[in-house]
Amino acid sequence: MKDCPLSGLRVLDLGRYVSGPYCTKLLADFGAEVIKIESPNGGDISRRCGPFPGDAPDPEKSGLFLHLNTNKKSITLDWQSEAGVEILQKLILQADVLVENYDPGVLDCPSLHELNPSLVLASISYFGQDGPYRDYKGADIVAQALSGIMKLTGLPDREPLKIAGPQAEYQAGLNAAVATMTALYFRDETGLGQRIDVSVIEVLTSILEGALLSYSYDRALRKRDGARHRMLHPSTILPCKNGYVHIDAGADWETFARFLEIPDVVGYGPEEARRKADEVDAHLIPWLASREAEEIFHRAQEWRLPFAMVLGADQLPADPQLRARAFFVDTDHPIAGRLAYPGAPFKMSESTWRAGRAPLLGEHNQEIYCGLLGYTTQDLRQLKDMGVI
Amino acid sequence: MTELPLEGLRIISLSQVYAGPYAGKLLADMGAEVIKIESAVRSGRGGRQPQPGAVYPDGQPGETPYNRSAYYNELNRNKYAVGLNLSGEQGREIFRKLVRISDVVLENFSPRVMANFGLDYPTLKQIKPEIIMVSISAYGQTGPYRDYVSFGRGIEAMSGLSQVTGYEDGQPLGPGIAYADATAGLHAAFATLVALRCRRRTGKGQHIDLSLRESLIPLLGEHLLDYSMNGRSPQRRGNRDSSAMFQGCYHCRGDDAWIAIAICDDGEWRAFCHALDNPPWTTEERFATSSRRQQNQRDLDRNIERWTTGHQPDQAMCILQQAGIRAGAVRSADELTRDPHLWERGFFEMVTHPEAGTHAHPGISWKLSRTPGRIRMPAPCFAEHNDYVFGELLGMSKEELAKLAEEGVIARLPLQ
Repeated sequence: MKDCPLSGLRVLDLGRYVSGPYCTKLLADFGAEVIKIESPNGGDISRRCGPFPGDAPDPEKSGLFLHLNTNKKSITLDWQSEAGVEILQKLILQADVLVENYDPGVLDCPSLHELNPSLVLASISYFGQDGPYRDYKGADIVAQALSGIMKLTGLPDREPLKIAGPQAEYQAGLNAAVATMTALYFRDETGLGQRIDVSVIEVLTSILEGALLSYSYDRALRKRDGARHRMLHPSTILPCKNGYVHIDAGADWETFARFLEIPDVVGYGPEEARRKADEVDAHLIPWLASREAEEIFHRAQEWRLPFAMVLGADQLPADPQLRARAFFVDTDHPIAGRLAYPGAPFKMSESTWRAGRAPLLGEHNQEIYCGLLGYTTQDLRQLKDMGVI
Repeated sequence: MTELPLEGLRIISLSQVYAGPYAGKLLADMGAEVIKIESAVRSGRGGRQPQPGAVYPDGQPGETPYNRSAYYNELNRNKYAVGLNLSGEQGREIFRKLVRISDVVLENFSPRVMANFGLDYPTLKQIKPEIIMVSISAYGQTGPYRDYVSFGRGIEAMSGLSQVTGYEDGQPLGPGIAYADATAGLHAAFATLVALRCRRRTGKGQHIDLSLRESLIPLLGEHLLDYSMNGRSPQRRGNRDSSAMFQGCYHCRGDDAWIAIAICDDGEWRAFCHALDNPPWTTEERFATSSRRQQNQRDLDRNIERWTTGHQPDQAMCILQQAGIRAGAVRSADELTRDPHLWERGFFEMVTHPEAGTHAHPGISWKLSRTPGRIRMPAPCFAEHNDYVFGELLGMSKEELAKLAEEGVIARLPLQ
């Protein structure tokens, strides 16, 4: 029988918005028990970010929150209050991992490790836990700027461009998940926990595709060039009859030229095509304009050319490959209803990824406070009156 | 010497280009022994001829361009490399011996290739039941597109990312870096560690089927929920994005010099105006509230840019950050390699490569307080570790190795 690979692991989620929650979503979806600690005053800020059904804000219907918090348990706790700290400490005693993305210095980490020396504590911040910019304020676009990504994205004669969506935050969460599993591997060997310091900017600077060492090697700076690839052409996006396609000569110019059957293009070799990209595009555009994306994509694939279609979110649920692999999962939620969610980021032959829904704010107060920590229902009422939970 | 968190873990990597090697890099940085298997014909690092577009030290490919490429050397530090020909039975037998002494096999061939080698998961499992095999492919090991080919850029298009990455008034562009590959590599490293934790408990290995596309789509989850809720698909919004913030990228003094600024709420807006010494336009009614600023964003952009063009990016960042404003200079590779914050945090490490010289490398992606890890060795030269892996680990004699090299089973140099 298949089981969840991370069952038996207990994680406290003090993450807000995207980075911390994506890290703990990965852990929860693969079986960890994730207790999400939300502010009694409205919960995670992502509950106030859209998209919402009909654009009507509702803390239980935010698409961002619903996506990032599947399979988690939600408790409300003002952990910065005096009574709250005490409760947080009790939770930490019973946890394997704590993930947080508060500003550096907000959480007193040495004391947490005194409390639970085997705790893996993952801290995510924009600039990291030390260094001269530690207390600078960040945002997704700020991280994409300072990390070097924006300088490489967009058109050469226009302003640098960010990658769409909160991608800096997502990358930080993903890196924190890898780092957390690494620290858990070490803890399982030695019993020792530790602190992980993930800087959003540094994890992005780590994926510049060789740009940093390239600069160090020959002082040449890569320039942003729209959809074009720096080493070969075409590997770019161009319009077709009903949208856009990614067309790609790959490493095999001859097959590419034979596939197109455009006499003017056959004559270019890969070197010349790279130098005269505008000219090549001018030949390709009329050919593409008379054909539909699906036809171009599937025919090119018959020739083993790495073409692709530029698809929108609306085209993915019906995609034959994603359907054949049962990628999307329909999940019910008591308030948001039944929605289609993205599925597992990878498939495991012997273990299960869980489909599940996000919790309502404070949905698991009773279960965690009474069941796990042993408070009575009366205690709960009192803590609620005090504004602690 | 500090311990490394993944010490004692052995990973065989049959991966090329970016996604697989990036996964291997993350695990190698943390102490895993990652052994790259490279063929003399298609090593994945180029042959004896310089590769068009590749970057070499001082622009010189030299006699051994395959040991001198920046792209390869950045991604493959902390790894071992052997030359081994898997197209014949002898090479495959050596591979099977390596599997017996390893924990993980990491590969990113097209789905048919490992089966054609007779080295697919069912076979490896017979050799070593607790082996973990991680297969990275464009579209996955099953389904109608399983044999379709794609690089990361095609996958960014097929995942909905290119569609939304572009200027509001222009065509889809997509990221300027290999974003889908990096994302797949990170998920693959995560998957490996999840499977290892599972193995610790159950004693069982398993096969991981990771598609570049399916590992990228979760990073666009809110777009898919928007479609599921509202039947609509987000459009390109340039640097504005879908976030509730007012944000943009503004020209500064200097050539291709820019700064990104984000303003979250009214408090930040007031601090921003103050940092600019409250020029008259900041008091205008049309910029007074968050929704009015959104409505009149283009006019606001022009006014902000009038201020930023008077400053260099770092100057403007400093002024704004001191006022508590979210602002960041748009850095290029040369500026990053001088960034005081990154140096102070020890992000860069100086590494000497025997054939490429001493250079600053981007270091470990995150900091672990007890087991930080570091760049212990430069990227391997082609076949550099044949003696260690075949001789020491597999116990093959010098004579045996010489014979296998002569027969072309073991490679010491790329063929062409």
